[in-house]
Amino acid sequence: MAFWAGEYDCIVVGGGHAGCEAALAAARLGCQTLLLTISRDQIALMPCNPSIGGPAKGNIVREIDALGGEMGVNADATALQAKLLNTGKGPAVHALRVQSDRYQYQRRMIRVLDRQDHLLVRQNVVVAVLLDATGTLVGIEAETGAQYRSKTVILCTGTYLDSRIIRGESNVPGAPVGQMPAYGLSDSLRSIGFDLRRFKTGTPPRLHRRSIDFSKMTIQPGDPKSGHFSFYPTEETRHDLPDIPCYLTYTNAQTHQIIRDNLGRSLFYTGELPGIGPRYCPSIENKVIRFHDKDRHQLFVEPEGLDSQEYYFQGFSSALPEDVQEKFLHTVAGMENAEVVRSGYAIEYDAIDSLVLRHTLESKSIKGLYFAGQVNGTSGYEEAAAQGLMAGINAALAIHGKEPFILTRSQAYIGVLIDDLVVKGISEPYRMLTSTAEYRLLLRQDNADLRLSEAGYRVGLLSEARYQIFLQKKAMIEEGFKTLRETVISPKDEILIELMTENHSVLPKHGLTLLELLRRPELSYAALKALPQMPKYPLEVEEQLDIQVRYEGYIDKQEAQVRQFNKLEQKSLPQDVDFISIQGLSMEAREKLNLHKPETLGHASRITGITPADISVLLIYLEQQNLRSSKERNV
Amino acid sequence: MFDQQETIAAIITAQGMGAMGAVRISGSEAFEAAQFLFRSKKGTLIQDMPHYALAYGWIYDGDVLLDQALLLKMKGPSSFTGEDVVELQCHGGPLVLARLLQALVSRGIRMAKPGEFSQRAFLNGKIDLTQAESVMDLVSSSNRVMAEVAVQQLQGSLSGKIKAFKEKIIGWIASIEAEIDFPDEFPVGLVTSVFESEIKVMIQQIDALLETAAYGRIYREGLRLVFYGRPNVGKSSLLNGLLQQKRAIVTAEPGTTRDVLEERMMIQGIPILLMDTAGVRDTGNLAEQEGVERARGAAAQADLVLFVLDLAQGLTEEDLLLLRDLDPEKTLLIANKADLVTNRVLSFEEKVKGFEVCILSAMEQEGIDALIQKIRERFESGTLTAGNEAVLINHRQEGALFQARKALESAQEGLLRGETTDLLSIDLQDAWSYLGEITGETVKEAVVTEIFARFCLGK
Repeated sequence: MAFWAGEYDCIVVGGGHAGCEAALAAARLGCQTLLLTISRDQIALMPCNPSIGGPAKGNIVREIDALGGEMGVNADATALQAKLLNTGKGPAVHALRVQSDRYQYQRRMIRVLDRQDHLLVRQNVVVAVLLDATGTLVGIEAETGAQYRSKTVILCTGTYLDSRIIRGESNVPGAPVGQMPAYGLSDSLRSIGFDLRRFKTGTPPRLHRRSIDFSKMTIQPGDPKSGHFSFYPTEETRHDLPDIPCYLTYTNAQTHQIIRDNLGRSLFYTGELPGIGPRYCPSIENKVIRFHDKDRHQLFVEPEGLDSQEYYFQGFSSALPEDVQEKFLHTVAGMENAEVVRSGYAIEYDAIDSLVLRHTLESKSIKGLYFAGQVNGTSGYEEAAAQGLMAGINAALAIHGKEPFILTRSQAYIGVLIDDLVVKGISEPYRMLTSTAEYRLLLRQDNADLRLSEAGYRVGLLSEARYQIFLQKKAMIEEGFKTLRETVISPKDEILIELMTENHSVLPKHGLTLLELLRRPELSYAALKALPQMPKYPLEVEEQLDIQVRYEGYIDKQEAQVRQFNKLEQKSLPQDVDFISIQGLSMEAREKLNLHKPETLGHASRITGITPADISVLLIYLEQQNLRSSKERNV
Repeated sequence: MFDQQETIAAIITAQGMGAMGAVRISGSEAFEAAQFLFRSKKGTLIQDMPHYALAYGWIYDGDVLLDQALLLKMKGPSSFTGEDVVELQCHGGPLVLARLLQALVSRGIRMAKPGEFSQRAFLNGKIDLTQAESVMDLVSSSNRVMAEVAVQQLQGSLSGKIKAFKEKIIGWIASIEAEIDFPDEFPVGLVTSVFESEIKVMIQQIDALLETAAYGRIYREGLRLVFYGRPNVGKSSLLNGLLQQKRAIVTAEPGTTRDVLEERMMIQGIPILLMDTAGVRDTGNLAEQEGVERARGAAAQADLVLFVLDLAQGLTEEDLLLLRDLDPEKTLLIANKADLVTNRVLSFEEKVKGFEVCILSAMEQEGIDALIQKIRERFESGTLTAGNEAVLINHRQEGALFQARKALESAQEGLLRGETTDLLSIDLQDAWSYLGEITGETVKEAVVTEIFARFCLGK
């Protein structure tokens, strides 16, 4: 029997990385929030690799942190080791990645959620979205019959919608770590007009520590000097990491042979299942088939937690039967006697077509209904968390009757991610890549706070205390620039002479400012610190000065591109246009534009199938409209 | 902006030549309009004909039989313009075609403006920008050689070259990006030194293509021949001699030609733009002074300068002064008025060493054929090979390619300085998007502005 169980401003469905950020953002912005999850014990679960960050993903985590989200702090607090990747490839692509204690990560997150004012985390399975007769959102219904009214609902159902676990010939309803799938909700979504599609992903086996021969593998320690995700240091985020190492090993010809011999036992290879899987983390069988000329593939062995004996086997994701998995596992160096504690599997789940969403992640058709995370077709904890945060913020802003909060492609990776989702649309699980960001040099991980903290504070999510920390840093950077600009070093300065000789730099004839010295490619902030006149600041401030001076030319170039980009971005298209009636557009363009209803010419230009010719036609059309309306004004 | 509702028609074969003539009708009323003129032998109505079908029949203007014809039906959007299209092919010469058009116009069909079919094709997404511009050039080309280049390009020889550049650059970018986004997969790291030599090669290839920009202009505008020299040496008579018509004013008073006169002609398939300039001398006359300046400018931009001197007067100091500024490679020295001297041996050969000399008499029409032959030789001895090479045919393409080259150069410098790959990729992406502008694959306001400038748009 259905019954009314309560009324909320915001209901978040699902307690994964998207759900946690969404619920925290809404509650922190003062909304009465209810988070419903299939299992309170699996809040913020990492069902795949126990790590956070990496290229692009690390930038997202820092952006979430700068805006006042939780992921960065939670990852810092529960890290086992950290590494700064891509250090040799330039500041734009430096990427922090931590190995997480996935159990600690979950425990800390549920603690934060439970202590959050205005938020209740409750265990229940949501089976339906409730609309009234006019199609207006009313709330949701859970399997217990409980019906909750809510002004907004954020669906963060991850990989749980009618999910099935596939392992060899077996294809059964199931969800990560032995949980149950979310049943019922898919049908409910279909009944209110959403087209669902099946996406798939997979995970490798977990192995018992004592059975792994690490001596046959290459040790991969972290780097204690890698830094942190969170811009706001606390005791929790700035602790010494235990630096538990990972290990590197490889597949070999024998491994590949066993895989090839047994492909007939995978439902994906017999053609029974089509599931669209991510290109970015293919199963080991896909790697062996697609890159058949490679004689080995690398595999990483990663710890799952301080108290855990489980090791995650990155690169070994498989949907082959359990017995086959064990057979080829034992061919790998160091894994000869490996004991499997959980075998690998593929998981198939329902996702919506993200094109039905606005940039706020609100459904275009049902006001107040938001979608965030893997249900939108993305993959990755970081991508999910970012969407959860933005959906949570926008739901709260809508409730308070405020303007939406949208990040553009030139402001943040989060902006790129959401724009790709709602404008381009995706046909396979989407992973954030640095190459998707046009203005990568501006969207660095080191300046996420400079890009977003102000906005986070204005929205109301970034606390006053954190904002003050940010303002201090900003002031130091400005002061630092002033000193660099105004301090002239004499060419006769002995320390300078020594410094220049050491770094093979040509000694200037006249006095140079510190700024001019820093511009020399062969010198760096660190090197120039030998000069007593060089201002000394906390590392992250010196880093800003260093990068902003040394990459000035390229930064200027990208900023010019951004201005160019903004021109099309700012040409808004009237929302009541019937594109079908615009002469000169291709039929495909007319249909696509009518379907997407792009808000600006910039959005239109990024829709797949819209050609530059179509954009010229739209420009012509806008010109005509302007002419017409200015003529009317003149009459 | 043109009105897309209107159905348009035009003769699409070259005027006055060939055994066949064709008229194209494009727009929503194309079938209906053609039906009024065309009677198929089998009695089939156009609307009942399948897509891409041919019908044989006769063209009538009212009750008057105009010609036999083949009718090709194409249904939009699968036609050249993306609209409903009918093409009528008949035997008729210009007169028949003109009557056919007239009949169409009397049925409310509008005459297409030059390039309007391509405009529609472009705006309907049927052809890309390069192709559209080629079509425009095809339309404005009035000779066969140029048409060949335009057709070549339409088939994509330039597009092909640019595409090859783009693919190569995308390859570089991809290898950089892959390593950045998946650092674990590339333990060894990217060796960027291979890029250095590859970028160098590409810059050379771009330079070669950039050089063709000049040839593209020659095809489009003609080879620029400039008559240059002191007053009253007979430049205008020579121009007239070449044209065999009285166009320039020829008088005995020095300094009559005050402006630059232009005339187009064909020399054995080579389009030529003849420019007659004012005689160059110091003068107090302001208008003449202006003409002299223009003459100098024209000579500087000429593909070939025809430097004329008066054989009767011999080589004067003034002549020598003018010759000093000229490039022998780009100059033909013409000793005119050979009819006035008895001894045709040059007394000043030593002083004009390096210059090819041509002795003739413009008044007597003597030696003109030899001059034409020399011009042709000059034209053919160049690296120019008509129609076989991709050629940049307009300034927009030239400019974009130049920008792409600059971006590649910047990438190259970055590599030498040891810049990191994230910066390298910015330059490479720049280079790519400039190349994309040529094929119309990236939209920038500038491109759109260009389109507005080229096509007749806006009220």
